[in-house]
This record gives sequence, structure tokens and C-alpha cells, in this order.
Amino acid sequence: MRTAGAFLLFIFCTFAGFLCGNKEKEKLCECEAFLSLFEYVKHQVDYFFTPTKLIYRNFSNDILEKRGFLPLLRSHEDDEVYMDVWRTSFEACRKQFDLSASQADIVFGFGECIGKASAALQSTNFDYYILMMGEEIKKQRAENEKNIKLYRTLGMAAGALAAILVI
Amino acid sequence: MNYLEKILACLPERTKRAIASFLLRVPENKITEVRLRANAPCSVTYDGKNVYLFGGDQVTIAEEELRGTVARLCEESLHTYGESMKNGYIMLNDGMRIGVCGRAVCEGGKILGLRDVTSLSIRIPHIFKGVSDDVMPLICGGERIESALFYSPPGVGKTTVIRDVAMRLGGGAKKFRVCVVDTRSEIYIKGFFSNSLCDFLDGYPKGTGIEIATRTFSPQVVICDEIGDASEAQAILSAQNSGVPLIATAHGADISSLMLRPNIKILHDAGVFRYYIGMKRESGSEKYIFTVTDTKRRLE
Amino acid sequence: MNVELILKVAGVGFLVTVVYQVLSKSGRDEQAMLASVAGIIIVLLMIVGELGGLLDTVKNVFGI
Repeated sequence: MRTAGAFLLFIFCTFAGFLCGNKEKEKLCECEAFLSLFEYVKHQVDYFFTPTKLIYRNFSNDILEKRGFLPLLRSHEDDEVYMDVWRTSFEACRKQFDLSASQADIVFGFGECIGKASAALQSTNFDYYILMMGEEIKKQRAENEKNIKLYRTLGMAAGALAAILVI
Repeated sequence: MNYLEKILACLPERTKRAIASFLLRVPENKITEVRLRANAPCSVTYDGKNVYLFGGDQVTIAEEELRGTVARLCEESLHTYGESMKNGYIMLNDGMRIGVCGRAVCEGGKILGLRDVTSLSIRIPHIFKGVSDDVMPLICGGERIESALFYSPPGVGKTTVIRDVAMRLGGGAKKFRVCVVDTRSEIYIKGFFSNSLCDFLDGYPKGTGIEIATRTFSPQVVICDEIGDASEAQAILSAQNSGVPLIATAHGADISSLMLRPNIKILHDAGVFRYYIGMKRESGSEKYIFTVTDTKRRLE
Repeated sequence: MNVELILKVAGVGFLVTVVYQVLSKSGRDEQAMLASVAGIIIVLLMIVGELGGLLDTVKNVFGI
């Protein structure tokens, strides 16, 4: 009995450690997905002057679709009054994302700039947020290199400790 | 949602309340224009009268609030309307026309863009069906469609009438192939033309538009708004060689002042238009009074 | 001789060492310190019973 319990504990803790590691990996993937969305929006506004509510029609990205952000953005196309769509959509699915607070702030900030000024001014603002997101991605990558292994090791160690104590 | 509700939803709270309380006293379909000014009194035009908006004291709008209103009216796509804002207006999909002015950024005499918006003039279109009932028999009574020029002082409703004429010709009992050269995107309203054979050349300059329409669409009638430019006169004259009737509008208080305009005179001398139809509207009424001048009868 | 207890303490000690090394290598020195303190506390809890027994034995040997 005790062996079984100890074994279960070990598996559980190792799994938790791996999960934490995966969260960090997801963070990185989400940031990269947002970066590609930012660049797409900038392109649409700069070259095609696409009306904001139609921008998201032809963009697809697995991660953002799965989290529900893109479908939410698209669902507002037929709104009578189109207002604050990016902010409300992101707030609605914030929980689905693993982003850190600073990364979420960048996403919110980007949304505030869309469609509120001339194309040239928007472009400048977009460039700023694209740069910030690029920096976040670099930071996240460097951290991930350290952290993922750390979390996995810690998970396994905690599991082994719990197993020993139980046995 | 109708136009006024849509506008109200985009306005800041105080202005919204003032207009809402104003609407309690005046029927909605009489309001033709709402003007918003940064740090100056806002006003509403109904029945030809301009009225301040009151909400305790005069309702004004701050500049940032005005910027927010413009963004919301444009559905947060100011970049899409950048070009038209330089020309002083924003045309929304559903037919609302918003005049925009503010601080322009110029270079070499050309406007590069608008730095700030200081005034908005929101024109609310009213769909009046059947306004052209009185003149339709003249225009399409016989086998052919007769060319006609509608004239009136600005603001009377030439666009409303021409819209109705287009719909009646393209969707009436006898359906004609109608080409509408809608340079300022004012004639088309979503849903109004769903049952008619009208083709819209949206945003085309009038001269080019008439040329293209006549050459490639074989229309039975071409309709356009506000002629009076020299280049348009030339295009109209060459289109007449193909024998396509033209129905147009022009600014003019009466027929003599209309004929004083050189470009209109050119068209008159070439016999382009058969009918010159003056328009007047009694204040408070939706009915138009038409004054028809038939060139054929004059010659006789 | 409670071999089991000795092995357990050894295991805990070994794991704490590993965790300490990993944490301090990734720069988290405070957390490494916390881990080793936690390890010490766990071991103490594990052998608190034996410590009691030791003190009793000492008392008996010296007739106190």
C-alpha cells in the first residue's frame, strides 16, 4: 500500500514539475503568436488601410484560435457599435493565457492603438509594441533555458522526497 | 439600430443625455444634422432651424472626447478613412455622412492629414420613398427615358430625390438598366436598392465615371449628383453621342441663376437635358414642390 | 538498529543536496537556502523520536 502511495506521490510531483516547465514553454509560444498577430495588424493598417473589424478575418494562428482570442475578435464584426473590441476580447480569455503581467500589458497596450489615429501614427505605435514584445520573447527564451530544467528537477526531487518520507 | 441610436451610442455621456432629452420634444425623423464642436456649443439642425443643445447649460465636448467619438463612429478604423478625412468627410457604410474639419497639416498647398478634429457635422439621411412620384411620369412616361436636371439651393434634398428616381427606374414596374455615378458615396444606402437593377460607380470622379458607365455597362440611363465642373461637362457631352439619357442635379436657386453657370449653359446649348426641374420644400413638410421647365415646349 | 530510518535520512540528505545545487546554479540562492533549511527541519522531525530515545538511554545509563 505504502509503496503504491509513495510511487503515486512521486509520479504526481514529477508531473507537476513538468507542467510548470510546459507553462513556461507555452508562455513563449503565446508571445510569439501575439508578435505575429501584431505584425499582421501593422501590415494591414499600413498598406491596405483595412477597416479594423475586418483585419482579423484572414489571419489564423493555432494558439490564438485555441485560446479563443481570434474567434472572439471576429465575432464582433457585425456589432452595431464597434468599440474596445480588442480589450474586451482579451479580458474575456485572459485566463486561458499563461502570459505574465508585463506581457499581458503589452497586448493591452497594442490594442489601445489600433484604429485610433492616422495610419502613420498607428504604425509608429505598433513598432514600439512590436519591439517590446520582441524583447519579452528574448527574455523569456533565456529564462526558459534555465527554468524548464530546474522545474523538472525540482519536481522529481520533491517527488522522491515525498516517496521516501511515506515509505 | 437606426442612425440616431448609432450616433448616440458613440457620444460621450453628457452630450448623449442632452440629445436624448431633446428627442423627447422633437420627432426623430425631423432631425437632419447634429454638430459637435470641441470646446464650443453643440447644435442640432431640425426643420431647417439650428438649435443649441442644452443639458443644464450649453453642452460642449472636450477635444479628447471628440477624438474618441470620431474613433467610435469610424468603428475604430481611422486609418481607413484617412484619405477621405483629408477631403473633409467620412462616409460610413450605412449612408451616414460625417463632415470633419480641424487642424490640417499642409505641405506645398496640399493637405497631408488632419492633426486634430475640432468639428464634426453628422448628417442623418432620411429615407423618403416616393418623393419623386410627381415627376416620374415625365421622366419615364414614354418609351424613352428623358434627360432631366434637378436644381435647388443646397440642403433641400436633391440627393434624396435622385436616390428615389434611381430606385424607381431600376426597380419600378418597368425595370431599366441604371448606372449611378456616386462620386461622394452619398446616393447609395444599404438595403434601399436591394430590388433594383442599379449599378453603382462608387467614388469615381464624375467625368470618368460617366465615360466608363456609358462605354462598358450599356446603361439605359445614367444618374449622377451635383454636376457643374468643366471636365464633367465634356464627359457628359461625349456620353450624349451614345444617346444615353442623363439625370443629374445641380445647385441653383432658380433657372436663370442656373443658366448663368457656364458649364450648365454648355450643356443647355447642346440640348442635353429635356427637363429642368426646380425643387422646393415647405418647411415642416416632407413633400417636394417641383417646378418643371420643358425645353421642348419652350422651343415651340 | 533502525536501518530504514538511516536510509531515509540519507535519502533526504541526498535530495536536499541535489536541490541546493540545482537552485544555486540557476542563481536562486535564497531559494536554495530555503530548501536546505527545509531539509534540515524534515530530518529533525524524522529523528525527533530517536532523539527522545537517546536522551532516555543517557538518563538510564547515568541513573538520573
